[in-house]
Amino acid sequence: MTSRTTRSAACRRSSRALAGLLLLTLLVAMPSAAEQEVPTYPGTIHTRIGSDLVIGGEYYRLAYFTTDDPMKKVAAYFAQKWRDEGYPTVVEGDLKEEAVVSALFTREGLQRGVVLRIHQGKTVGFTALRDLWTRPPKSAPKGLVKLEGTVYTQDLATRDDPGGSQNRTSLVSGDLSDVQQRVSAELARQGFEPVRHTATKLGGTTQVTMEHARKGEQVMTTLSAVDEGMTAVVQTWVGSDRLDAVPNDEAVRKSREEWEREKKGKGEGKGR
Amino acid sequence: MRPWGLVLVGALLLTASPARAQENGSTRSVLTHFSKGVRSARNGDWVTYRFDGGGMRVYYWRMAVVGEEKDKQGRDAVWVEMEAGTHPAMKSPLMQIRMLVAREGDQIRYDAISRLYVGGPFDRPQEFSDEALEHVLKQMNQEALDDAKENAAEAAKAPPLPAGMKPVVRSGKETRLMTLAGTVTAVQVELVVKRTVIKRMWLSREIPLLQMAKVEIPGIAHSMEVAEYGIDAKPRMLMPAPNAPKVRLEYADRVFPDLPIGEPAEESEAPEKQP
Repeated sequence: MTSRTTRSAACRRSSRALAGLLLLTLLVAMPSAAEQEVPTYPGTIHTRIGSDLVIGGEYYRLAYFTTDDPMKKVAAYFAQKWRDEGYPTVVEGDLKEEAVVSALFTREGLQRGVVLRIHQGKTVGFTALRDLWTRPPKSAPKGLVKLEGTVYTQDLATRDDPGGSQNRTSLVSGDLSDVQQRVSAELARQGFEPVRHTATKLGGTTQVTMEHARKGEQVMTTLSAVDEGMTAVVQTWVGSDRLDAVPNDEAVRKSREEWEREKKGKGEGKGR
Repeated sequence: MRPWGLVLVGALLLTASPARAQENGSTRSVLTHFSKGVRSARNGDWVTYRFDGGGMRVYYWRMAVVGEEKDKQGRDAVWVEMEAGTHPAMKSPLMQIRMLVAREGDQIRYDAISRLYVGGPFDRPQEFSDEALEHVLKQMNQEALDDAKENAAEAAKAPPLPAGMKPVVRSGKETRLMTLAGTVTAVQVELVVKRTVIKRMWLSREIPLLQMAKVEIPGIAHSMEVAEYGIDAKPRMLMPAPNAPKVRLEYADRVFPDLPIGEPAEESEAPEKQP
């Protein structure tokens, strides 16, 4: 009995010690894991745009807010706050139609900024947090095509959305039908099959939307003529096997595993 | 320690051309001031200056001794951090330097750097490789030698100054000077040509590291003034991981092995044909 009591007391002591150690570990780990927040304007609701975005090969966090306050007041708030805190801050724009306020946080390798615009009489602010030091691994976006004659292209990817998504916006030299054919041919070469295809009139111009799918993956392509001989191509790749293209990480993971197994099985069969 | 103030007075005299400057007891009053107890550079010493370049051109520069150790050659050495930014708190410096410099007795030898880390506004601090550091130091020494030669040659060639145009260094008595960092005891030293003050500075034994309280160039409204100082400096640079890549020299012939080296082709300099 005594030994049992002693053991349980020892157990309690060791549990407490373990809990203390765990708490200490958590406390130590917390500052390093602390989330770096996007800037905020007081008294407004901020809506995050995606989670962690990769834009032009750099990590970003974005949010937006709207306010009745005039643009000058909003810009002055951010500029004053960052300058008072001791961060090098720059204000650009006419402060009537547009303004950009940004500050460098060089010890953390971050840039915080706000882009302001007027929309329907309100001031709309896009707040951004940009990582200056960490770069995402260079991986070619899956299912997104880069055509010959591309004069501009911009990639955007989400880092931790379920299933993940990648976007590419391009300006391609060529007529709408020509670019459409080239996109379809390239996707077919990558193993994507056409699912559906719609053409709509929008503001006097034709907009073509194509959907392609490959095992557990979907690519939505929207094409529209910008000028004569110039077409805008917006592509979104989603890891999804759902009809509504909503990312379904678990379904996609299983589907991919199954596909990999099938592929492996076929390979082994051929080997024999 | 050799007082930095004297070195600065020496520099001022040199700037004024040694042959022409009249030394009228200025060194004596500075020496008297420093003889009352100048602080040698120690681990923890730091000072921040406010530079005003006229208009809105204001920035801050901080220097701090943040550690001591032996360098690769076994000499006593100190870690010196320098930062420049737009705010004295240096929460977000636009330039950071950390270097291991040898010391001889109390004197820090800023020309004997054995390790160097540099961080910019957008880049994580990075250490210089031995080869890159050697290259930078060699370049700096060469530039200093070239400048000295050029100045000596110019001074030898220069015609004698007209009467009354000789620069004069004069100093005042020890006084109390109000600065951004508080009131300190200082000695004023001026470089004057006729009645125009070219440069005015206040040296103070109370200010760590440089013993400099304030410098003014009235003609162009430039100034440098001590903003903060102390003796409790801690390392502030976010050090890169030991295995992080270092700043290295890149050789053009290795990066572009097929790059033709020689005289530029004649046709490249030919004017464009007009239609």
